[in-house]
Amino acid sequence: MREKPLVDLSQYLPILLFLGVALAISGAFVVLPMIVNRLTGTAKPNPDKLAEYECGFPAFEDSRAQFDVRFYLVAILFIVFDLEAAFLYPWAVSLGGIGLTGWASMMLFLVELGIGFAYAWKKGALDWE
Amino acid sequence: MTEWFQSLIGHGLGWFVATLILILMISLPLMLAVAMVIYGDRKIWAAMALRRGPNVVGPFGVLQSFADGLKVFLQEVIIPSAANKGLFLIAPIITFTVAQLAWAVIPFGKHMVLANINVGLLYILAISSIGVYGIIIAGWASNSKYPFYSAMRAAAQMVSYEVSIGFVLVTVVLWSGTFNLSGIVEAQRAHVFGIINGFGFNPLLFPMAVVFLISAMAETGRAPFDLTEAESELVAGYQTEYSSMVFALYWLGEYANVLLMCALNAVLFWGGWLPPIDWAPLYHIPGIVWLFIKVLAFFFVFSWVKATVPRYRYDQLMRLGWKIFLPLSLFWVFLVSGYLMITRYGV
Amino acid sequence: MSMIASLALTLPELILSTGALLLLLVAAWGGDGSSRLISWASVALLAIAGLSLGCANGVAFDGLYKADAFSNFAKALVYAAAAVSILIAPRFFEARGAMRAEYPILILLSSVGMGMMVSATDLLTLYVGLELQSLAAYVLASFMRRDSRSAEAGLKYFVLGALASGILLYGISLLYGFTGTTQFGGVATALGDGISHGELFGLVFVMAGLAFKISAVPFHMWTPDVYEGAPTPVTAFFASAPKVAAMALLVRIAVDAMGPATSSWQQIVIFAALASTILGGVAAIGQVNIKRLLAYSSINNVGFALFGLAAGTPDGVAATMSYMAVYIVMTLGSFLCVLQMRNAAGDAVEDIASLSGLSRTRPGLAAAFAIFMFSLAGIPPLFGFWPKFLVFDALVAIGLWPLAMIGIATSVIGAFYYLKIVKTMYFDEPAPAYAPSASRMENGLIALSAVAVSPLGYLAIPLLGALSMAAARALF
Repeated sequence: MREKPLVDLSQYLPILLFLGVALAISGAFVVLPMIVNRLTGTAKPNPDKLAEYECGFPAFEDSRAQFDVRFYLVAILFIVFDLEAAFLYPWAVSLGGIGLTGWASMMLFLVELGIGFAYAWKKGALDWE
Repeated sequence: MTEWFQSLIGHGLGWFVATLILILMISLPLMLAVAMVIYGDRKIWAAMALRRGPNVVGPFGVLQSFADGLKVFLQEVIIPSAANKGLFLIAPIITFTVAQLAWAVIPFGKHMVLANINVGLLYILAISSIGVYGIIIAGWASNSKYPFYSAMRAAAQMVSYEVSIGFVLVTVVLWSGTFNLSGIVEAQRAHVFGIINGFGFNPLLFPMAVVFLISAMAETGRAPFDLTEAESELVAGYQTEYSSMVFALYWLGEYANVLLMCALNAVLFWGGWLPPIDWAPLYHIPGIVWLFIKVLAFFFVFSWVKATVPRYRYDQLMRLGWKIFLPLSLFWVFLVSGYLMITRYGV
Repeated sequence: MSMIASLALTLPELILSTGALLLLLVAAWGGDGSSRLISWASVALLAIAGLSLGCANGVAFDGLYKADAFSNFAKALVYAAAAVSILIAPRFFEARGAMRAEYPILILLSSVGMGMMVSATDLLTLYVGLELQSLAAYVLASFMRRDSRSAEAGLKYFVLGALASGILLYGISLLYGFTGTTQFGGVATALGDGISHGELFGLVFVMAGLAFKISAVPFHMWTPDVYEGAPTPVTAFFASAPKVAAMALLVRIAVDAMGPATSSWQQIVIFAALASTILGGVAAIGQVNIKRLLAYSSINNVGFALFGLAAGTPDGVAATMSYMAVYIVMTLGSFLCVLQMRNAAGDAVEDIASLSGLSRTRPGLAAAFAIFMFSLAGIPPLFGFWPKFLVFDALVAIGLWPLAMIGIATSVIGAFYYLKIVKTMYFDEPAPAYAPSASRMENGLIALSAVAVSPLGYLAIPLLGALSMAAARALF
């Protein structure tokens, strides 16, 4: 008897098809208006219209400016905790099979991350003001 | 339906045509629904502010969204001269594509799901985190100050709340023991006292349902978490430089995401296509109707909140996400898994 | 084997990691004012972990981790070097207002990683340990983040280290793919029935990744820049503990996992050893910065240690381990001397020229420095000669005497720049005197290491020989 495959890949085929359809629809929504307003003559660009947005005066700052380093901090914290969540998923579905050892190991892991979290909190990594 | 087409035009082609029709049966009604909920949103909002809302186009203004759609469709597509043109046009495509794509795994009823994959929940997570690219790319490609700031804010906000959403989902998975969304719905059958369907009625999971609802609002950038489009500070946020239908794609994508989050709330915590009570007569009403009612109820909550709660400051937003939701949901993973270890797995 | 028994075997790592996490909380709430307390607590933890080494012997976690004489020997060296690096730090950083409570904690975490490295009997444990060690090290390199050289060192170390980790991981995945297992024993079994091309590639990539960590030529480029830019206590740490750990790891993986393919990796090790000794010796000659010079010196010495591994025999491995033991004493002593190089205003100076005439301004320091230099050069009466002799003896024993000849020749090249420093200290006109030493502890440590590598060190040969032989026997 053949073993049942772990992943039923045929179920993913509709998703691929859906991706194609969704891309086609959104692509059409971007391209069609451009064609339509060429045809109807609404496309009348001029330099002022194409300038970047500012409140009634030419933009005087480079928009590719530096920004607050805290955004990087959020990004790093996100990676840490999202990865942690990613570790939790396989553990969560198999909790019944891994017994007390599996549960306790993950709880230890959570405690460790909790300590890291407390450290980040105390150091002000989560403060915005 | 698949069999019927396969008998008609052969195995492979029949499957292809049938699936294509199924996809369009999700995609097109989704867009119709988005148009209608935009109208509904405006009506609810207006009613709460004692205004009339749209009431000119069609009876009670129901065709307002379609009129708007036609209008933007005919407008000029402005691509700023400083923008990175390719990226500028790709960004809205990404946003709207992933907004549709996530619906592929949502179960609309028993066996009514396009792709019944066993890791449906992970798929949703993956797809919804791609959504942030649409926004970041838009902010970057616009090469303009306000979109850029808005994109930074939006990215930080979305990833912050994604963290607690991740932990909330773990509690659901712990209880249901599966990632398959149909499986999660089935696990909620007769969940409380053997008669009530829905994890949300379980006192241990109810707080997570609340955290998920609020995080869902933050994730979709809805009021009171709409800092990315805070008009007084950032004009129109990352959409500032967009115009015409390209601008409307963000609009469509945002509402499609809101509907998705409403559906997820319903599926994960409130029984999805199950009736609220496990009582045979209620099952005569088709599952899709129950799901529909629940989604609309949640959408009403979203609108209601938007109309009544003032916007958060950015530091408040971050504090709520990192200092309240994250520790709470982390602790809840411990609580729920410990409870299950004792009661279900008998340790 | 039960979970509890496995945990008992990892006791040193448990002590260090639990302690480090608790100290992290102390650091967060106590602030930088608690750094002295945390430093002493960390040293105490390292001492306790070192004491707990004696009772550990066996395989834990179904073959992921192994405590044996080899790992205990390496861990003892690592913990000692880490403790010294913690002890010498506070005064250095406080003079610059940069002492932070995190410094000892990072060293502790790095030590946990190194403990995992030397105890790893699985490619994944190896990788996790290595990353834990490296990530802490990247932060340490840029510990004085306001200092542009330190920041540069950290960034350079991180980028190149990440590249090396990538190469290593690539090699690991190739080995896993072609042998079907990540356990050292399983890999050895698979390599036993002939080595395929895929396995050979995996082996080469793993070797390359580890060569980066021990800074063997041709993967040494980061060493001078990082050693120069990093704060001196951190450099002392980099030059000692991680070197021992990475060398021990390389030895274990070469013998345990790739034992049947010895002929394949032997060429790589011989090439790296030769290239390291020659390049380390030649490139050091032109250096004017003492830390850069010591960086090339460490490349040079790693080359000599690799000669022992190149022999591929228990004697050779024992020689490599003895070499590392003596090497860390010499190198820590040298860096302790470098720490004393402060001008009258108290600022650190690093150019070799400032050492001129040290024998007249600070005769004690000059004498100690000279002992370390002579010893690093391997000049006979000093203890540094002994491990070099062991290494070449092991080569000769298996008939690789041409290699031993070349090795001896390169050590003569190396001797040149060590002697140049001695000449600068003893025969040049005095430069402005250094600030007087303020720390009795540092003087004590210098004296202690100078005595250890002086001819008195030969008294330790029976002990060191027995321990390193026991360590090597544990592998074969």
